[in-house]
Amino acid sequence: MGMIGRTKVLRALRTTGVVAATGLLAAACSSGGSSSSTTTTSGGGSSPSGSINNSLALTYTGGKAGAANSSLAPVKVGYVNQQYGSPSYPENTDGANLAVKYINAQLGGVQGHPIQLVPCYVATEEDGQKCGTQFLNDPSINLVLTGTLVIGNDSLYKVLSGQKPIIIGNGLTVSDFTQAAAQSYQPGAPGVISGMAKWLVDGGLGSVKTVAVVATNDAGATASAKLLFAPPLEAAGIKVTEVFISPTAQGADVASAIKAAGGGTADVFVPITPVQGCIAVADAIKSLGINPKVVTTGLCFGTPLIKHLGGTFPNGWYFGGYGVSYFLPPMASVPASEQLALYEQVVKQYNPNMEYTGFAGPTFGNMMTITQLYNKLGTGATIAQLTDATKNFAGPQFGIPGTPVACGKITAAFPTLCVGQMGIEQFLNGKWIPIADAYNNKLINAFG
Amino acid sequence: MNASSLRSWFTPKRIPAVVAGILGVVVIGVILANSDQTQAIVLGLGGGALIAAIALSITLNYQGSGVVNFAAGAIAMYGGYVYYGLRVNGQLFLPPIPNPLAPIEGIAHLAGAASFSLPHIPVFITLAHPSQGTAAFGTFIQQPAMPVWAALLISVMVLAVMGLAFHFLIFRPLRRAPVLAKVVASVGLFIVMQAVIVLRFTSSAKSVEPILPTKPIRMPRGVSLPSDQMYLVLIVIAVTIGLWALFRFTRFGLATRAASENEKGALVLGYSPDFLAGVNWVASTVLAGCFGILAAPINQSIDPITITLLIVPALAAALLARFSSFVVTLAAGLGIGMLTSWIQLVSNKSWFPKANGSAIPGLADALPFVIIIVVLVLRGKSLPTRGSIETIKLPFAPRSKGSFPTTMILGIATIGLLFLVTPNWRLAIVNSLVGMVICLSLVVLTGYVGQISLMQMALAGISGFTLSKVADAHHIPFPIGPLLGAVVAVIVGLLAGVPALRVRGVNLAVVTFAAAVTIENLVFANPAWSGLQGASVRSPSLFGFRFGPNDAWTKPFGGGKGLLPNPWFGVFCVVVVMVLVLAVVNIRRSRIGRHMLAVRSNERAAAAAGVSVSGTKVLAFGVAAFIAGIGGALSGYRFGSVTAGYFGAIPSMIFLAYAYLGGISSVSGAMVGGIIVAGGILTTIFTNWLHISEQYTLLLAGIGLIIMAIQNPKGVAGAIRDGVHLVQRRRASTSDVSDSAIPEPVEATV
Repeated sequence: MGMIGRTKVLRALRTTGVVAATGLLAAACSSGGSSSSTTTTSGGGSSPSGSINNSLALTYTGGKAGAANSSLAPVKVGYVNQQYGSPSYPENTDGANLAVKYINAQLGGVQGHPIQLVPCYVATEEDGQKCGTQFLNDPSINLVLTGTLVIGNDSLYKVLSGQKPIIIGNGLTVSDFTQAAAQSYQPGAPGVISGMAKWLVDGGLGSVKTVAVVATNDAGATASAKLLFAPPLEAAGIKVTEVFISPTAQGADVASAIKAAGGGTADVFVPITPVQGCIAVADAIKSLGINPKVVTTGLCFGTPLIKHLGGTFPNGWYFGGYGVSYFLPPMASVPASEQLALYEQVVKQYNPNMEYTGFAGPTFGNMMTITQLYNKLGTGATIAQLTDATKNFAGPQFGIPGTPVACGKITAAFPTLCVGQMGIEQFLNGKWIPIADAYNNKLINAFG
Repeated sequence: MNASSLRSWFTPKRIPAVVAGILGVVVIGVILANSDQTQAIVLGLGGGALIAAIALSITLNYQGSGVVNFAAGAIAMYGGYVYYGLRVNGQLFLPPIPNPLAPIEGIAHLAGAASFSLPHIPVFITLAHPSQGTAAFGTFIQQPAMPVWAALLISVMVLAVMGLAFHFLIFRPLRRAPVLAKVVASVGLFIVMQAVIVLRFTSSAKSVEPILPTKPIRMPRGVSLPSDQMYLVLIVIAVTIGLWALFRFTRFGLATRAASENEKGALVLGYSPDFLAGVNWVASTVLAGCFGILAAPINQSIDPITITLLIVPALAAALLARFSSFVVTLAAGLGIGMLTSWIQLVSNKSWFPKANGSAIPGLADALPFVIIIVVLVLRGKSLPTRGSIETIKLPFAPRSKGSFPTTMILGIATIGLLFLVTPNWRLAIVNSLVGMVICLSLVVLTGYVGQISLMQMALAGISGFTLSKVADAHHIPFPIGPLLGAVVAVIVGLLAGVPALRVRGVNLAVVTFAAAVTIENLVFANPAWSGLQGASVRSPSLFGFRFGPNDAWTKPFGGGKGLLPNPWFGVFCVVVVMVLVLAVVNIRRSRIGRHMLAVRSNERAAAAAGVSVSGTKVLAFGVAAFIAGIGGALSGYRFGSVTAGYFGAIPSMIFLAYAYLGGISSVSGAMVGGIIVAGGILTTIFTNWLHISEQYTLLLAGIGLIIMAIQNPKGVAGAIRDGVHLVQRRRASTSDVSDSAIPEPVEATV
């Protein structure tokens, strides 16, 4: 063999080496040689520790106390969530898995059959289509639940398109709320943002003439600001100045955007950003030396903000949410608040280290609702029956106080929405205060 | 200066400079007269300092090793996470390391010994334990595990080791490799670092406590600046002065500068260019990482994206400084930061042009591209190309033989497969076919003409959005719609490719990357263009026959409704790929193809031989944009919609990596590249057969890319070709035919 031949053999060996090394790494990966760190959070801040009061959960799901029979065929639910990429929302999966554990261990599963999640995770646009195809062609799956998807959601909906029922978990993009063949049992961004606008127009903060908005320049926040928030305010003669920042904006960019929007001089300042943007906003307000009235969404009060501020929230801020709060004690007159407290107890018992705020709770609630639907229809529920049941589900939704639950009838603009009520709370001097929510029976009808 | 000397100085050539100077003075005056604008500019200092720091790291890298490091932002982000892990949790995280025992364990599990377990390589090394904290609102607030100084010290040590590893394991073997291989390796490094962080920390933002004092500094006229940002600026200025002094007054610095001009110069000074590169890699990695550590608290939190993407303005700053002057790099970095902040403010002013009544989104992000274009126009040909001892050419671009029958056979076989395989494999084939089209566009532009483009996915997106927002909106039928999209992509591609007439190599890569960022932010994310309701794409239909992937279909044999995706869409993709493959093969064979290879090989020699270098480049940009545009339209049909993120700058970078991994200079390489893409055949093999979680696919792709860039620049297709060639040689030698009987592939020339 000549010199050239030897070089080629070496190159072939090296290429084989590439494949072998990649394969070795792959083997290491598939054998679980690594793990992701989780946020250290102790769930259930406002609820007492101790055993779980299952009666509330059993009443909701219609199940029987005790464990499901693992020898029976499972009831499979397709589950799609954006995981592993940037951004990703693993807390949805924590909430869904927590619910499955709890339902199978203490609520008797579905008529004694264990409930089983069949996960399909999305990190790329292609994955959305793949998950849709997988669930569409899997005869054992008659219902699909989503967590949060900002990538691949459109592809997923287009594949399933009325052929299998979809319950959309925590939607963020316009596409999540414009699907006629899917349901969302939370008010989501449309309900919360529209509700905030309505509250301001109705004088929730007194006479408001100018509003400054800083929103992230992504599909969800842009649509929220431009379609849902600004139009009702402008129609009421309130001047709205919107400034959009890149999802990767740095602290200085956020401060600059607040200045540009007139955050320091407007009557109300509204940041519409994910939690890291809220942290930047809180710090920027301090460094700019301004003291605006801040009204923002529940996306802001996640664990990172609490940690960043050393165990508290920005003083005086108003938060728009679903009408009940993790941080207020449950009230017997507000069943959703008791359900929320139950969820926090389940967190404590099964996964105390999970990030329990944010999207985990609503996803837990969706699994409870799915269990209720299956308990009513039986384990052999067909696609048609489930499609009807999900469309005609009249509520109440677990952990959500808004009523009525009326899918497709809340607003013509968002046929997916089933709930149109939301609430507002304020954090003031170390305490959470109900402003207009389920606790004071003043839920805001966002589209009313 | 008297009147006559003033007249002689004031030549027509100097008019633009004088006008620009006067305008500059007026603008600065207006800004300073307005406290809001002054505040905005001051607030941009902090971000500018970080941009400058990353740009300094890039310049240092380039001076030391000739590598323009696209992973510099990722290194800064990684440094921030190393510090975060140590400071908060007392843990040093390790990247996924291949465990040689894993295959044994896997075999044991396959044999039924499910409980058999061998030691695993740890994920974290615990060096300190966090002390007890307090619970507030259900959240456990723990005290930091490690003092700031200790976490900083260990972080710097880790960063130094990383710098050495990057040099010895990745870039030293690539010292003589073509620019493209170095770009691809740094893209691989970018992918790997981001994937490791997402694996270890998830993509959620982590709150980071301040290192530097944060009390706002109050300035005159109500202007204020957080003191940590001011400290960051002072630190970056100090570092710049230090680097300037090091490179100006020390023998080491002089040798590095000499090496950056000509590596033989460093040898004459008694320094090994290899040693210089190693030291500079350590220095640049520590520099970027340390500023990542300092900047994370200024941004209030750390996540895998924010600092990483500062690579775009940082590259603009480094380019402005010609990858050589630290002082200009600093000024440019700070300037970009301040200008970005200022644009953010003024774009909301009533007198500034608006889109749908609001400030034009993405305008600030477009600033680096504008700066780059201005710099290129002003002094394009004087931009540096580093002199190394010896440079290996781009991989061989083979001239295909028997391509028509091969294409037909493979096409028909693929069509057969589309009807035979299960739906998930059908989907994988479709994804691979669409990927092949984008990779083919890179074969023409980069493989044949040597023009490194990091904007092909952005061009595909232009076509996809045109299909959705123009063709579909105006009911323009198939196939005119996708062709119209491709034509618009050609127009944009030609416009963005104009700078290619003045620059080449890595500078062009920077330009096209900045163009992709601009297109993504200014066009795709602009509601005025892309709309708030998303951008749907109608299913393709011809003579009433709908063949979109989600359209119902009837099985050709036996009847009955078939499972989705609709294989006829796959058939359409196969036909498109076959047509494009044959077109590209014919381009390679033709006179135009020979001109392209001549330009790739040596522009001056090509020009001397009568080849129009500019014309050939423009043609290549146009053809590649057209092919990418077809790919964008296919992608729109595939998903039923187009999204900004799918066609952004990072996907463009990743697609170059796929194409390179497959083999960028051959049509067969594009085919392999398509097989590798996300959701393609290889990913499906990984997940369906090898049961590897999707969370590792990006990491594996990055590692594979780096190894391939080092070991086999010809890509997988080239390796296969070499293997076939080897077999032929063996056969020939057994037939007593000498080695010289079969010609060795050589670098293509005219």
